[in-house]
Amino acid sequence: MSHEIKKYKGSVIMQPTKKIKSNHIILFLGLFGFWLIISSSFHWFSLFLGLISSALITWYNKDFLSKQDMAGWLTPNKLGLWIRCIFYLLRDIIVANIQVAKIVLSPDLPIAPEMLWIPAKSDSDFYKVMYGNAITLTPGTLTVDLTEDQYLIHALTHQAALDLTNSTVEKLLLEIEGVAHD
Amino acid sequence: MFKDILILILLMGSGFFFLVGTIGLIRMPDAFCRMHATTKSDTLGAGLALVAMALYKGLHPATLKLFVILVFIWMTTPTAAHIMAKAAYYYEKRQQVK
Amino acid sequence: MIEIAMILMTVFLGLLFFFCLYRAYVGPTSADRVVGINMMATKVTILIILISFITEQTAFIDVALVYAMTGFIATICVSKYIEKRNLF
Repeated sequence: MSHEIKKYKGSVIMQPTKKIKSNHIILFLGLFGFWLIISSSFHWFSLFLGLISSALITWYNKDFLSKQDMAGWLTPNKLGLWIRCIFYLLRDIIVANIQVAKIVLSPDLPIAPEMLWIPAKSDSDFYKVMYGNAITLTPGTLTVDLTEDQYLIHALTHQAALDLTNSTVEKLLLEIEGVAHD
Repeated sequence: MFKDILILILLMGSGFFFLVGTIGLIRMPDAFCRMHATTKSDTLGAGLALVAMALYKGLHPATLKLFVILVFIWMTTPTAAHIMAKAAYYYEKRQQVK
Repeated sequence: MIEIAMILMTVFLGLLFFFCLYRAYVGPTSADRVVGINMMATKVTILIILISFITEQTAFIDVALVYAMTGFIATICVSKYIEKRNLF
C-alpha cells in the first residue's frame, strides 16, 4: 500500500516507507490551530467539526507526509537558531528593498545582469527549498532553477553574486541541519 | 496618538515600496530584472501594510488572521517568483533551439 | 485621521493597478504578463484588507486569504503552461 518510489540511475525502486507518528500529530495540531484561527469561535459544535475535519485530512494524507522526523526541530537549541535565522532574513529583506529602491529610482539604471550556478551544500530537500527562498529574498539575487546539487542564480550586479558566497542565513541553516561546513 | 503616527508611517512606507515595485515593473529591461523589483517590494510592502492594520485593530481574532495572511504572502511570493523565472528561462531556451 | 489615510491608500493602490495592467497588456513575452498579474494579485489582497477595515466588516479578511491563495494557484498554473505547454 504505502511505498516510496525512488529513482536511482534511471531505474525505479519501490521501498516500503517507515511510519513516523510525530509527523501525524504535528499535522493534526497545525490543521486544528488553523481551524481555530479561521472560525474564531469556541462553541462546542464548531470545535467538534474542526476536530473531525482535521482528523479526516490527516487520515487521507497519511501516505503523503514527509519522510523526515519533524519533531526534531523542536529542541530549544534549534528553536534559538531558527529565531536568529528569521532575524537575519528580516534584515536582509529590508536591505534588499532599500537597494532595489536605489536602483529603480536612479536615472541611469545601474544594473549588469548575469546568470551563474552555485553549489548547494545541504543534503535534505527541505533545507534546499528554504535556502532557495532565502536567496530570492536577499539583495540582488533570484533563484531560477534547483537541481540535485546546484542552484541557478540570476544576479542583478556582479557584487550581489559575490556577496552570496558568505551569507549568514546559509551558515545558520546548515548549522540547524547539522552538516559540517568549512 | 503615538500609535496613530506609527500606523501612518507604516502605511506610507508600504505605499512607497509598492510604488517602487511598480516603477521597477515599468522601467526594467527584461523579465528577470522585473521579477527582482516586484518580488522584493511586494514582500515588504504587503508586510508593512499588514503590520499597520494589525496595530490598528489591536488584540482581536482578526489580528491572528492578518498574521496568517502575512506568513502566507511571505512564503508564496518567493516561490511564485522562482516558478515564473524557471518558466521564462526554459521558454527562452526552447525559443533559441527552434 | 487613520480612516482618511486608509482611503487615500486604497485610491493610490487603485492608480498603481493601471501601470501593472499596462505591463500585462504590452509585455513583450508571456512571462512579463505573468509578473504583472502576480503583482496585481498581491495588491488586491492588501486592497481587500484595507476595504474591510474602512467598512468595519472583519468577515472580508477571509475573502483576502482566499484571494491570496487563488492568485498563487493561478500564477503556478500559467507558469507551468508557459514552461511545458502542458499542465500535468
